[in-house]
Amino acid sequence: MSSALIQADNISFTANGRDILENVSMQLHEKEILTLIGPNGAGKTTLLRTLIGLQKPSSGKITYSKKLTFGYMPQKLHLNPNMPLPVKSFLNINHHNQANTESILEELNIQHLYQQSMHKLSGGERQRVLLARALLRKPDVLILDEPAQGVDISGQNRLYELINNARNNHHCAVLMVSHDLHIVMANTDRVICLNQHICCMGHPDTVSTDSAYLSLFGDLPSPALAHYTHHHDHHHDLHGEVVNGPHNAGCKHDF
Amino acid sequence: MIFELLLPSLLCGLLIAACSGSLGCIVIWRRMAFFSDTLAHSAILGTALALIANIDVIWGLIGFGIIVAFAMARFDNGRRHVSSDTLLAIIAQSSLALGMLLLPLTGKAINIEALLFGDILAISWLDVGITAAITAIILALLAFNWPALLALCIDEDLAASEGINIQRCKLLLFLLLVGLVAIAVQMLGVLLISSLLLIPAATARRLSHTPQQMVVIAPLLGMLAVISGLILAYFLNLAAGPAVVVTASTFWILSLARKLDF
Repeated sequence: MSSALIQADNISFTANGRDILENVSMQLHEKEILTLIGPNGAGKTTLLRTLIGLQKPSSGKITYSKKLTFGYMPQKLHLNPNMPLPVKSFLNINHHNQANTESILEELNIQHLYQQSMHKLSGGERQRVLLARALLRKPDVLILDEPAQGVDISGQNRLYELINNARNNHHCAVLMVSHDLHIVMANTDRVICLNQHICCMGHPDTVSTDSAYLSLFGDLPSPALAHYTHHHDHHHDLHGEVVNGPHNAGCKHDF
Repeated sequence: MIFELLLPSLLCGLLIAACSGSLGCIVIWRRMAFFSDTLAHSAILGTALALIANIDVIWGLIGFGIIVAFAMARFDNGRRHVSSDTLLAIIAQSSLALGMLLLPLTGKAINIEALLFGDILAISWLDVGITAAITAIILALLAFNWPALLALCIDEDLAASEGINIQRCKLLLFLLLVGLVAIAVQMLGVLLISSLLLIPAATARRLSHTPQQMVVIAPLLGMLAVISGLILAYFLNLAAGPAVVVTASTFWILSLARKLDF
């Protein structure tokens, strides 16, 4: 417990009479990679936003080990085409020193994008630029909301490798939301499955041993991905929607 | 002789264009056109209240504008501006109508047309002084808060996660707009203020590659529109405010010839 950077105790969040989070308790430890998964509307983004103080929980307590710097990568950047925005301007808003910027561009292999417009980047390129902006802050914690969303499978591999390298090079903890219920980054130390409350928690299995994954993707080399087997006790369908049904009826995707 | 008569108007126009061009960029980046329009419309009620209270109109505009700004900052506290357009239209139209009802009660001779479309001949050297002071304050606050405001325009959540106080920035923007409306009503009237805010900024967008370029080009385009508009108005005997706005629109149409290359 002493090494926890963030400690959440029984946090709940209610909006417009709807419970988004119910009694969630969790910790994020130093240099750990923690992945949040869960169906749509499970409160993953709300939990991230609450943990970094973008919104206050309705009840419960969050304690930080010290004043933490967060490098946040939002799920989607709503850029307005009315603003001309080269990557250079986007990254230099906070007046970082040039040497640091260059080394991070090199680390993420996006030097060639520096002069380009943000509006013209592909999904994967934009995610890497967002990651660069988060890293430029020299964060204690990287907070990534569905970083691999909209990125093709080989792009996901590369992105996950970059995130893992970033953890090692910059000595930060990583808290991320996965866009997929079953596939998480292979270097994930812990997985939390959230559906308003915490359903289950554990380590991901590796891809190579999982037949379901192999049958889905064949023998595509995907060293950066891993499969997570759920161990909880209520229904979701395969699209992540919660199916109303009795508890203890078994989880459909527990294959 | 006539030049001396027009000089205060010209100076006021240039100062207003400097403010409205740079503020206008932020307004279109944040899609705040409705907000600025509401503030401009509420100026009618502000004017009526000032006349009833027997104080200088500019203080009435600033005082009442600040109240509206705080109200709007309160309403604009969600993550997205959900259905706030309806609310803003209600505030804008109601204060316009209420202002019109109250104006006859002030017992003063009011030129409604001047209030709606501006009257440059009424601009005095004292007005130039007040406009210059408020312009200096607006531009200084903009420059001082530029990184935070730019971050806010790009993405609110990202800005908030980097420690920027979002609510404070939004309120600041509204207050800057209040200042602009207060100095621009006399020249442009409540109906034309938004045009000098939006049109030069929209034109500058097509000529810029970075936010910094845009925020410099927009005021310059606004100033050019003011100079050309006033010259046209003088030689062709046109209403000055509308002439300035039509000139700005012409620049915008010309800018469409340039392909947007981001």
